[in-house]
Amino acid sequence: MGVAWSAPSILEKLHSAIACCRTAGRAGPTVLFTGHSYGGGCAILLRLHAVIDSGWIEALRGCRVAAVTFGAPLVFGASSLNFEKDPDESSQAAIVRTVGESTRNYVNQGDIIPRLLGPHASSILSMLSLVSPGFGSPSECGSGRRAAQYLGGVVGSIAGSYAPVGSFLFLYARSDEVFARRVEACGSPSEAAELDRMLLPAKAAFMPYCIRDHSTALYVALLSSVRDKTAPSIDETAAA
Amino acid sequence: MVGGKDGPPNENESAHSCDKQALQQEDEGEHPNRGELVRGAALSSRLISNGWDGRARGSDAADADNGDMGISRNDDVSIDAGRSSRPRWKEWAKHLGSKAAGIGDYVIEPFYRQWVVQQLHEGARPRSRGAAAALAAGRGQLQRQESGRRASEADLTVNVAEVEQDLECAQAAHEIYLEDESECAAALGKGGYTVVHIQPQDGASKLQHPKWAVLCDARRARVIVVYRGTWSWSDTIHDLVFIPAALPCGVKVASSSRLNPPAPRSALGLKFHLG
Repeated sequence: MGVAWSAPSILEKLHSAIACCRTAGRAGPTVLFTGHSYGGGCAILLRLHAVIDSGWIEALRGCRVAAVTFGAPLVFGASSLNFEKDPDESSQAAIVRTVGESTRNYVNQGDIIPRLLGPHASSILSMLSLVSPGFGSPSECGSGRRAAQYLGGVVGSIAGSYAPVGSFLFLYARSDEVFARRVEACGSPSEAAELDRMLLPAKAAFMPYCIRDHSTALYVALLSSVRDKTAPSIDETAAA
Repeated sequence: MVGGKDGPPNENESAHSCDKQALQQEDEGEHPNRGELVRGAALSSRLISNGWDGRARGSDAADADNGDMGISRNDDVSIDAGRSSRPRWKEWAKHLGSKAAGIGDYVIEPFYRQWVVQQLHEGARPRSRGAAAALAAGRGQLQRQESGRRASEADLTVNVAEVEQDLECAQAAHEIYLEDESECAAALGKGGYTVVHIQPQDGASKLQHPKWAVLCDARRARVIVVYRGTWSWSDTIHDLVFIPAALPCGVKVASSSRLNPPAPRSALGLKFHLG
């Protein structure tokens, strides 16, 4: 896997970056692992690596560490999160909890990627078949056959077997305003239910925009709007 | 024409019955947003059945959509909504009733609502008196509901301090897609960051060896490790979602076209950064 391949090189560069912060008189720098889409998945896995690898643990001692992803696919297997059946439950649960507590996953409206491998994968695939008749069944159309083969060979075999971990921040636009809704995957049962509901796409609104919403430019734009909204006004700053 | 029909539009009766049905559905809905969604579906299907000028609708919707979200259009965000939704729109509308709540009021409802509102703006042109009446009724309903229902601050459940640094992460995740290394380094260093290292990605390795970079801002004691997504998904997703729609199965095409389908970007005018 590419993350394991890149981890030693990143650690080497991270050492110098953290040292640079410390020599500037700043103790405990903030280290953020980030990425979009597949890059976001890599960022979460690197965060996991930083929790279980002794070299990383030592390097990041005293740092605030977080993973921030944008439209990232789910990377934790649902079965691996079933701690009740795991004899080594405590350590595994602690690792996932640590990763989850420091992971923020941004999901832009109907973005397909964070949902594609999740619990509602079958619903998504059936919806895609509405648009593209080639989905899920062989057809005469070359593109449709390729799509079916792809789904059968890759997505179909792993879809639905992944579970959300960390905080999920859903960005959405309402009229002329942009909002963000935060839901914790490992929170209360009601929050878990809400997250499950939000990961289930609605056909009419999801289908036309599921690809467009995956654009990094949209993530930047919507988050900028949220920042502008949350930034304290000049009056508030003066009062503080 | 997109999602419509070529024949003469239906008259007032069907439009009014749709109105009634939509309102009835709203009354019966358990959740107010569910009702709104269902009504939105009824409105849109009514517009379709009344002979909407879909071509105008598609382009206007895309323009207005970006404008409403405060997003300036650029090369990365352009879509012909009409073309992408052409072949199966009626089926989507048909299936709305069962799963209207969908992702919920936070994501889909405002989004879909916005879309429906756009259909009711001047860009869309009704072809009959019935459609014009439907337009007026729908616009009034949506505007009344809009004015009585502004988003509350509770919808903004994010940490203010986090948003600032997360925005920098988003920008880094966006800039790292730049192919040219010097250009990429310049873009990544824009926010006061020093680029410690950029590990280029071998085009042939794709998924196995991702591109990454380490950025450092000593003044604010912040270090960012950013991974890049891979471009290979872009073509795959376009094939999956759009190409079969543009080239429906069951339609006879020349063998050369089958073997060499049009390039997704040039054929459909779509440009995305997909990881």
